[in-house]
Amino acid sequence: MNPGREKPELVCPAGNLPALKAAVDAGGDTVYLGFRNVSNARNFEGLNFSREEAKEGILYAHARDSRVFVAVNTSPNSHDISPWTSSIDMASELGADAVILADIALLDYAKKHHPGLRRHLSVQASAGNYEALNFYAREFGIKRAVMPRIVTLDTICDIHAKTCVEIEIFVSGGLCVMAEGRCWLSSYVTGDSPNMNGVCSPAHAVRFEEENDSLEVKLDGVLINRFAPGEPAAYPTLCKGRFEACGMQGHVMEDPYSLNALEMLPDIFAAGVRGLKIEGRQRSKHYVRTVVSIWRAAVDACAADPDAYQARAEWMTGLDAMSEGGAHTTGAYVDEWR
Amino acid sequence: MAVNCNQSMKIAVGPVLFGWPEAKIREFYLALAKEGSVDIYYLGEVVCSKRSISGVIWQIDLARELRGYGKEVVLSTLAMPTVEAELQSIRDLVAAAKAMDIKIEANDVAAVAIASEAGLSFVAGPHLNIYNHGMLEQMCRQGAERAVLSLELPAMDIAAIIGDTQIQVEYFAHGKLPLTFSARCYTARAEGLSKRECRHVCFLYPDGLEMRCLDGEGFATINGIQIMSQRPFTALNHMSDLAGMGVDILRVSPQASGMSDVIAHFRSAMDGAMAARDALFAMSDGRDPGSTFCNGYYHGRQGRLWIKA
Amino acid sequence: MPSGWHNEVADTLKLKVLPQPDIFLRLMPGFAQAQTLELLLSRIFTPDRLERLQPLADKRLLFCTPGRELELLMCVDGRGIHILPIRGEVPDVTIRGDLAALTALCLGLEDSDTLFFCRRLLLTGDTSTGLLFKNILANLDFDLHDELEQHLGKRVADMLWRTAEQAVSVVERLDQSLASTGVALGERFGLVSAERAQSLETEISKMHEMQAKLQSGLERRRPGRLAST
Repeated sequence: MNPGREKPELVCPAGNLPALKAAVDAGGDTVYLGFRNVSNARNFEGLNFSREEAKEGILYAHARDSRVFVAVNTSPNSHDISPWTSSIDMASELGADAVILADIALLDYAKKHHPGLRRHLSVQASAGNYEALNFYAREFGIKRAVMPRIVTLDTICDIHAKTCVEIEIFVSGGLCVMAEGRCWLSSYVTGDSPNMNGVCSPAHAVRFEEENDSLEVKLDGVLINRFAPGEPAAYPTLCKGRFEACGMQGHVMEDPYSLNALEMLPDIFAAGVRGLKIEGRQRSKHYVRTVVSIWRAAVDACAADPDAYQARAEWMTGLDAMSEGGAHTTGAYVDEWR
Repeated sequence: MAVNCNQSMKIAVGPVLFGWPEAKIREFYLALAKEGSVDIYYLGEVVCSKRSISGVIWQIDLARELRGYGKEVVLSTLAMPTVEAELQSIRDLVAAAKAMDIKIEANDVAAVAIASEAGLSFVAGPHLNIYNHGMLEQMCRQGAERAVLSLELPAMDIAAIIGDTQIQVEYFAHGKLPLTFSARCYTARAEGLSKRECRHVCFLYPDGLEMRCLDGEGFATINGIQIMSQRPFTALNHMSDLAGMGVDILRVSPQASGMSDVIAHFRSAMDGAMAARDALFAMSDGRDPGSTFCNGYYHGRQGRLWIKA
Repeated sequence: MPSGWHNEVADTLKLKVLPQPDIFLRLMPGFAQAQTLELLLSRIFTPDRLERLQPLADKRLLFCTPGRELELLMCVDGRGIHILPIRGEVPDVTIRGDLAALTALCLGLEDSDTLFFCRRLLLTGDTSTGLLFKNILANLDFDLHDELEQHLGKRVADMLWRTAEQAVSVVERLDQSLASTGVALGERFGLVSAERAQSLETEISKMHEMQAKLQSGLERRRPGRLAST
């Protein structure tokens, strides 16, 4: 094994065609997207791709040597599996470079019906150890897995050494602090969940209300946050909410920070990570263009000379300026965070 | 009549999800075993590997002891293993289960892989995310003989998921709902500690740590790296419907007190000694069950709510 | 469309906050502004674009500034986009932001989540309608200046664009000078602590940075056309 020699691929988000083009133009190696239905974990109002848009996007990306992955990463129900299977069929037919799957029933379907289509394991499968990865590789032929944001970089290094499955990790954007795919907080409060409905804190349940100059955020009537005047706001997700425990009020689960692993890039290269994933399919093309440009510059700089690499101040402030809470963290990649 | 259906059902006690000292866990299971109302015992640390101070040996010893009462014992595995030591604890449990000819409850795909390779039949646990028939069939193919479906599923989906699969189905029927897992320990964080230096602070909260909204409304329960529902879920009053849907076993998840009563209420409703509705009323101390329990997931609604049948 | 209806619109459509609007806009009565805006939108939103707005059909969207200097109530149906009288209508969603933020949102110059995080933009009412609007707008991806030019000619398009740009820059000047003066006075009269004044100043300068970004976004898009203003 020769870790650190191969330049990892920048995997960029696109919630619509303009964002996909922005990602490709800004130097994204790969763009990931979902279809406009319940089959993907960003099933938000007005977001995602129709068949025609996906077709155009894939042609656009391929013409510029970029790849497109299609996320079909929620779990089908037992009444009608067709939104999920037809999404996989469509990804295959349109020439997607990989499908990103979480549910074993879908991995099995894709393996049987589209054996030539590359299968990646979604972060929603929450596979954070090599035994699980090797199982998915042996049974369903996965080539790559996206790590849940609960493992340290040291552990990722160990996992990489014991599996032939390529490792992809999140490096930038919204930080899910729970093991993805194993969090039901959203359905506990709103009735809709990432696994079943492709949404976390769905907009239909969110209400922003102003109360004595402060901004209150309610989720299906449950008060989940209160922002002082001028205080940076965060997404209305439960894990970034303010609650009370042990008589103290505050961010009981996680501060509203965004993930930013720019400063760890040489270690990430050395850990043998193949894919660097940027979160943000819900963001605009401006966000995608800015963030992908910064990461492109950083990855190229690190690949050219990992020893001399340093995260530049303007990269860090550029990412902070657009991020949730206006601040960043390296999350679970560093043990101290836990 | 549905009562006949109920009578073929079994009661299981799930693994203790909270941080309890080993002595308390032993005492808890042995007291239940002496009462004899429970058919199946699950034991093992599911939430946090740091809690298993003396490893898995004592769990295996306790399993042996419980088997002496003539009931089924299942060894539950960790839900979120990431490092080698955690994977090794699963291998140890699988080896012990094989030697004792009992099952494990697999709560991560790693455990499915290890059990399957060892040729050990297993229970597909609630953390494997079984949402559909296809996933259930795949688990059977790997050697699952019983499955606990995802807790957030509406009960009306159960029959469709089971389909023609020859597998026992267990339903999480009572207890605080385990809602999430994280890398971070929230109990330690609330106490101003880190996970690394946690001092086993979760042992101070045998029923979890209460978490409220800023307006004082109850919200959830903190249990180490896990967040649970604020109130216990219960499907005691839907026992007959569950039996009709093909559920074979009802799981009661341990809490620090009152478990003997909860199990007695399930038992009397199951045996037809008491109507399920009356048993629920008695279990709620005569109050509105909606002020004590939640059941939203059963009805396909918000998990925190109580929906009147 | 009866003119009485548009007279009512004239009372409620408050565009007077627009700084130094071109003489053309200043001389135009309110109802005519509403009518012109509707006409313009009907040209920009060709049938296929209008089709993509249909998920928003019959929803009332209110755009307003925090002090309600600007209020614009709109709705979409199969025939087009309509400006509605505000009186007596309850919007499904209110999209509130300072003029710079609203301009940036509608011209597609800034990421709306970023504007939300820094408290420049707020959705109240039905959040899902707001999200739908935001995402449909992001997906339409047309160049508003080109559209304006195509339908109104270069002269008027440049004028409208300049007005938008001025809106951003005036808000920038006013916001910063007013806010800084307020903080300085507050500190002087002991209404806020020195520490709080310091943190408020930091907030103001952050806000300023954001506005500068918007400004440069506008300039980047039309360097040649706007150089003369």
